[in-house]
Amino acid sequence: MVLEDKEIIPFFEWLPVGLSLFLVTMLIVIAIGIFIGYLVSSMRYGPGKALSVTFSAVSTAIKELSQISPRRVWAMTTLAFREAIRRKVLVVFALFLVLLLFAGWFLDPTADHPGKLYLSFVLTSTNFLITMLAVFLSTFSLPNDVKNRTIYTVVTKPVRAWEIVLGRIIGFAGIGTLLLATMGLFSYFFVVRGLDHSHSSAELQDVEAEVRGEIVTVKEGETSLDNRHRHEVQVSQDGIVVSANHDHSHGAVVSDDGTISFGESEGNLQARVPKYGRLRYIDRNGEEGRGVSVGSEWGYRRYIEGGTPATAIWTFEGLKPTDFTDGIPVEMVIRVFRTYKGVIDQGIRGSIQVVQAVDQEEGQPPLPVDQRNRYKKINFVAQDQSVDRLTIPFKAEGTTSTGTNREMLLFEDLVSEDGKLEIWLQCAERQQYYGVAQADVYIRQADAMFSANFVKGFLGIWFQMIIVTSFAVMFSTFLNGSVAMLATVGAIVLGYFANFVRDMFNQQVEGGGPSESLVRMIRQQNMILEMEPGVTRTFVKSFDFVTTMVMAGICSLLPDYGGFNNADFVANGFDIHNALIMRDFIVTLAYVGVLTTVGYFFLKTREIAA
Amino acid sequence: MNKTLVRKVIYLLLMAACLVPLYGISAPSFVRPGGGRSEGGLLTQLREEHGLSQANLGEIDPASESMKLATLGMRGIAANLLWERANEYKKKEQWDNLRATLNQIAKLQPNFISVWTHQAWNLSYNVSVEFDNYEHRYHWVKKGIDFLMEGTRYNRNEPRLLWDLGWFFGHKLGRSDETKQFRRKYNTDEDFHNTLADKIDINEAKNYRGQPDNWLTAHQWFSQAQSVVDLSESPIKGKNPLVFHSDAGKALIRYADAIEEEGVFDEVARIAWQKAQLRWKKYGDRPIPTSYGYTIQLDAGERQSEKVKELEKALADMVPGGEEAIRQKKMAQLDEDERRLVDANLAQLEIDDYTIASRAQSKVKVTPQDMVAAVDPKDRNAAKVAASKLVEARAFDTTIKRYREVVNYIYWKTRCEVEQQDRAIDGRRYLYEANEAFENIALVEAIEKYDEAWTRWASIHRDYPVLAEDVTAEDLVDAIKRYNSLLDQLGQPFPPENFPMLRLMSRYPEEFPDLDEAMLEKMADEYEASLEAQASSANDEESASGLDSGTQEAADNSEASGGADAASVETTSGNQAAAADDTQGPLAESVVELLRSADELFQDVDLLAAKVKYEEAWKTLKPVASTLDQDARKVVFEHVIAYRTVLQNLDQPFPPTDFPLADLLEGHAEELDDAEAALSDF
Repeated sequence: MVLEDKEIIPFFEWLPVGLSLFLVTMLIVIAIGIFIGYLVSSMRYGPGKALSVTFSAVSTAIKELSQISPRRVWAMTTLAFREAIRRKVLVVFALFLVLLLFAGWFLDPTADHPGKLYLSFVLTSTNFLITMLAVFLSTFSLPNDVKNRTIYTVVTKPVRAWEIVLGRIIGFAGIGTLLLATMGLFSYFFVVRGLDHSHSSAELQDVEAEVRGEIVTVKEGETSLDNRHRHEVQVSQDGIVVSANHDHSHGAVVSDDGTISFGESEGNLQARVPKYGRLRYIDRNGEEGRGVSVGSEWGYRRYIEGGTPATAIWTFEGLKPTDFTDGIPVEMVIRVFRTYKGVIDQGIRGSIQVVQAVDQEEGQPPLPVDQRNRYKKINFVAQDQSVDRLTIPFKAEGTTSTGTNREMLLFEDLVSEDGKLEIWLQCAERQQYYGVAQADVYIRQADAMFSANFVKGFLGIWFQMIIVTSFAVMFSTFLNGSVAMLATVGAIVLGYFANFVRDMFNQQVEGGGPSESLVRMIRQQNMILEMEPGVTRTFVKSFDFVTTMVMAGICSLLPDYGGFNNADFVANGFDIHNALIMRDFIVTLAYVGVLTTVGYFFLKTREIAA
Repeated sequence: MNKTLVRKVIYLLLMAACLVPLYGISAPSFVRPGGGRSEGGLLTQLREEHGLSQANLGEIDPASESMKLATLGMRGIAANLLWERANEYKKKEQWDNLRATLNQIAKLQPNFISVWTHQAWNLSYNVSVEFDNYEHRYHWVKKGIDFLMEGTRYNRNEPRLLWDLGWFFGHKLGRSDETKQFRRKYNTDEDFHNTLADKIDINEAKNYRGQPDNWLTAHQWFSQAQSVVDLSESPIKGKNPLVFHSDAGKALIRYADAIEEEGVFDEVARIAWQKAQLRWKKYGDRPIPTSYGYTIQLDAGERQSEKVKELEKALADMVPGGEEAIRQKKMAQLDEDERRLVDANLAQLEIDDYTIASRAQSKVKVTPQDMVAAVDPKDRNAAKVAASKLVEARAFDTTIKRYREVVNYIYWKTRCEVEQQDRAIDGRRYLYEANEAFENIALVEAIEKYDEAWTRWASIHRDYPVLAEDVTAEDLVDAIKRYNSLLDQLGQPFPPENFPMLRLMSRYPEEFPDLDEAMLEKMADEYEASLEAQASSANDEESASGLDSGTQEAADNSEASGGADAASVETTSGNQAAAADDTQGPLAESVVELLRSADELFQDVDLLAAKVKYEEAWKTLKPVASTLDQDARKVVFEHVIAYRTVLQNLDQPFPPTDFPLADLLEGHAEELDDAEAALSDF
């Protein structure tokens, strides 16, 4: 799968960095908050008294925070809950069911990776519906209470503003959670049932085939056409082999009268646990390089030239013999780029070599391969765009760093003490290229349970929902319903496009900022040409500078919603790394905390104003 | 009364009033209970008139309709966003998502023809080549075809989609680099044939082996596209009718061509060409609308030229003294310079003279109007009629000629005719066999077959020069180059004396940079002169049939004594010809020779050339490998070790896949080790 900008950093490496960044940001935000609070109250009470008012507001907040009663929060929560039910949120669920019912119309049954399509569909639609629900439900509640003055029945009771805000967030998040869980359950069965199928029969013929160097007669053929695909079948003395197609295979049994019965589809829904390595390249002259671009628009993969010393090297870390049973299973996706057609019905040959990792000092050139222990090269033909599998055996023929050939042991001779190992990939054919990215070669440590991974995928949506709800409740403490909704949607959109906004501020986006684009659109200018110098340009540029700076500033406070979306992992059959989940959880917790606090202060000021 | 209530009632009434004209505009048509039919509202009638209602356009799909409704009138925006996303998916190689997005776009705008054509092209042509494995490519070509077929469901009267299907089946499967593989896959792709069965007459698309052929399938689609144009009179948007209608016939021609390329000749090929000829004739007889407002028939060209001549003569007969008299009169009015240059060849003139000459030539040109003016006044009316007929006939004639050139009509017509002749079929067969022999390094046999082919092709080109100027000729040029390399290897001169293909070679001098262009021209002239001399020395009857029977004899002779000839050349010249069949025990001379030259190349560090030579030797050796005695094996193994070194130096794996001597190595591994040890001792 493509891992473009999602570098997975171990949780405990991320935590200190993330935490310190958070604390710094918080300090700044608190300072700004107190300052604004002071400004507002000094307008009302004069600068001298404002000081004490501000101080007392902060100290009350802290005092009230310590006095939060779970019982009262729960009461507020049930209130929010009941309100949600009263406002017929279940309609969203009905909508979801309708979507599922008709999904078959829009999902392509001939797709080569149907599992991916099905999973993407359920995850994306759930995500969309739940986010919408969170926005609509949470933004109108408080403003309506204020408008209908029902809020007085609450604030007159000994309920603190903390509890009101928290109660709402928990209540709405609760109903969202219930809905999300039900949708998840339905989605799971939808996907599993949708992909489930079997093949009724197979037509086989006797053919001669080579099995372990001997020519024997085996039966070969294809299964019946079901779900718009077939599998190749081979029956020999060793048993029956059903080839994989459309990402799955089937178990099969041959009965006494020779008929074959096929089982349910297997392997459609996976959760591979990959161990990624670090990729570096050696160029055609044998020096450190960065791989070649073959001119494709998408620069994700870099290429190595065949028939030269150009090599792609992955360094894996933390390998332990106890993690593997028979050898280390490696999976790889290798793209092929041909500069000439060559033999059309033959793939491009290359080799993989397992090599000892040797740490060099900074600035030193890497040790050439013949000065390291290594296994014999394994020659193979690249499959291009499909997964090649290979197992690194625990012992195999190899050559030592001194050049002696002997049988070598993987963990004794090749893997370093800290568990490092390298895999070297070379393309053997001149003027042909192999293209790889870091995530293209990985060690398949084990397989996690698909259902657990599915739940993790939904957890990502859940985190998003919680944050959106918190934003919505926060905005609704001081804005009227529809404005709060707009603000929440704005916060979501900005969060999704945070990178774009940042690029816009750094002037890395063609066509400039908002007003410049507008001018260009009206004048029908293209995006590449510089604007002509003049008053318009100066005005537009400076206006955009200010607006994009403000936008970028806001963006840096907003969550990266895209980062919560782990649908790609689930859809491509990769286990979502626990570090990611932990990270998202901590981030969510931080946002809920901050937004509740902000909400508290706003509600408090309204209370005071009232 | 309450004011608000009054206002509300007024609003309601106004709304209701608006419904009346709305109904008038958009009421649907229906069948009245008592019989008869309501025409429906204005919009319905207009839709009916222009064939725009969904039911007229194609199938009504609930998924598509509900998607259109669900976008709440923002269909365009949605399609735009999806289009952007499709581009993104394509860029990031997410092919499944791309296909799914295209489905959504197509469902949103099922009657937007460019979506279907553009994106089907994308899938079949742009996405398919992203895959390295040709099976995957074929799979994606099919996806594009599926997408187009889906499009025809929604737009059954759209000739362009049907035409595109013809094009994809024909050209994508039949004219790409992977043609051989694609055609073979399509032949046996039964699941695909089943999905096609309800769209075309799949039995009509079956080849001589009873398997559907891509070109015959293409022919079916092209014919369907034509019948949609003919029956519904829908205009062919974005295609010239001349080209549009030519492709059905072309598909049959390509079919005949393709099976011959695959080594199928004789009656099967002849029948294929016959069918193609009939279809091409049908195209020639079809009235083709022109941009001048009238229709023409390509096949009527000769008749039209005839007619022009007759009309010219009729008009000239009315003029006293004929056309020449008027010309002379005009000549008399030219000034001196003009008179000097009036008969000059424009192409050879400098710019000043050119202007004068072209002016002079246009001045003396006799137009029908001139002739009418020269006719006796009492016959002038008749002359006017004749002149206008002539002008019209000439216009037709020129248009036909011009249109013929666009589709190369005469070339294909001639080709269909000639390809059915024995000499063409034999010529093709010999060429095919020669190429095969060349591939199998049966050098002498290849040369003989080529020689047979050349005499036939030369005779065809002499009788039909038009055939020497197109694709087939280019294939022949490639074959001549191969022949050249063969002669080189045998140390014989090229071109040999009296080489029949000299004329063709002189047409493609850039393909033979080693040879002087003028010299080629001269040799061709000399050769043709000698042929003519031969012909005139023989009597008429013999000269007519001489060539055919002569070559036939030669062919018979070579077939009878082919093996012996080959053997004798080998033993006498001691050259590299393959000598696989009768070698026993020791190594054949040819192999030794190959190995020796490979060794030399290796020593000169010309590794690639050495590798090729070694591999040639292995190939020659393969059939007799099992019969080699131990001494011979030793020699072979020593060379295998050298070969391995070459490969190592080239960074290529040893043994390579399909190594011809793999069995030999496996059977005598210990001997290889011995040889290696001996070498290292040395």
